[in-house]
Amino acid sequence: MSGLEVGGLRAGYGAVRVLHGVDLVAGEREVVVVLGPNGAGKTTLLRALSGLVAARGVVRVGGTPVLGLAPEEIARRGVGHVTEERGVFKPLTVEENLRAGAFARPWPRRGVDDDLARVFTYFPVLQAHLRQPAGTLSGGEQGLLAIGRALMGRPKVLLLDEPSRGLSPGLTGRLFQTLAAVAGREGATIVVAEQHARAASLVAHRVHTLDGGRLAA
Amino acid sequence: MIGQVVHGLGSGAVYAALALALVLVHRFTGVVNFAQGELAMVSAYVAWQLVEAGLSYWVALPLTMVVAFAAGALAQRLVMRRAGDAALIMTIGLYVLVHALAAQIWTSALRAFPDPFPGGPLGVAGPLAVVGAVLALLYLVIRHSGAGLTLRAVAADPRAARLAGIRVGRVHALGWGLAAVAGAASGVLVAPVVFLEPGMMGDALVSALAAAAVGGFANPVAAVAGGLLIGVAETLAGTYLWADLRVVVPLAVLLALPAVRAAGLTRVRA
Repeated sequence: MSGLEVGGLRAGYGAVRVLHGVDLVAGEREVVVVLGPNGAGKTTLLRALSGLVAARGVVRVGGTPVLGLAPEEIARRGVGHVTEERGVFKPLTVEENLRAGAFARPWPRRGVDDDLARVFTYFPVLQAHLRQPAGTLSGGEQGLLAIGRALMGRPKVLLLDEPSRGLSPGLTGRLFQTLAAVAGREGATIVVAEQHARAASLVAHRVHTLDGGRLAA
Repeated sequence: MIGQVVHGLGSGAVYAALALALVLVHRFTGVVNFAQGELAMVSAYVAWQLVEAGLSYWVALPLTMVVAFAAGALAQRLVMRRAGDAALIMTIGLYVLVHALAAQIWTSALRAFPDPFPGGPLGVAGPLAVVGAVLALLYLVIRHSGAGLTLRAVAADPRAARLAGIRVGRVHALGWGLAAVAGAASGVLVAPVVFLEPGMMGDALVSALAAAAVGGFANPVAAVAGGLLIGVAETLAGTYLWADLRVVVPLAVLLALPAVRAAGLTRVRA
């Protein structure tokens, strides 16, 4: 079974439980949207999947169990995570940011230049600012750069935390069209956490709501 | 006067290289490495052993750099890796450990170290060239290699680097290794001046700490400039005022720093 399988995922911070048993199965080329108000645990769910937050349960990526591994090892097994902070390397140029993303791939890293070209077809604005420090980009552009950097790792599963933040409604719509194309062409599973349903739901194969620490269809 | 300035640049080159090492470790792993001087001292012993074994100085030097890189990376992997919040204390422990090991292996006898550079005012060009070459090498690696890219990514945002699949622990070891190369340059440059012995880097470390502080332990160029400046200031103070004054020069530089900062002469790069 390819894609992402999550079973009975429980996670929290210290004594505070946030996730009480999340189940989720998503296939290749699927876009899954997780909705929920602020504080529902969307961010915690994505952090648990990428290893930033300790969790119990089962997480399999392309059939390989990844729960309990360090974040860099989970990334190397095909999980790309664009956090809500974006986390672009601000002093590094746009191109350096993208090339750094390729370190998630196993050695030898062939085809990095081809991947760069493909990322530019998704996000042409990045090519226009190639030699610029990432910190000089607008917030929205930094979000696109973070997605592009994650794609450079050729992820099997791409986790996006509120990718619409900082984007106008028009740009948000275009971003989700692009993400749908990315899922199809890269063969990736994309999990999007969003507060607002509209734009995301248009391209989503499935929409779940995170409520009380569990996912509802 | 000019002779004294030139002489000061010679010891300044030593401080500059060691300060550069301190800045590299601090920028890439966030800790001030008090053991940096002791790693440099061991490198000087390695160079001495290689020359004693019959190698030419100019063969021994690059070999020493390779050994220093491995030793620095190994120190990070074996000692620093699990230090966590106690990292600063751990570098002091490493200082004691390395010092004791060196005294055990080589005793504390003073040994003459080969000086490949001619004496006189022109001789100072040698140390400066060695430091310049190490600087250029480190610049190339950090700015223009894949390994350097991982270093800069980790320095910019360690969490994002991990999410990009970069193995932060190995990158820290790489940073320590590169810093040890810069430190080794300071060790082999100071050894002919002060004689080879386990305590030989003590004074240089104090001056290098002050030099690194000039750039807020973050700016390599400011650290190198600070090292040269302190070298010249020490020599002038020791010659024209009184000899013992040279030891307080690094302290004076540290005290003057807030004023220098306020004047905007150095900028700290995050």
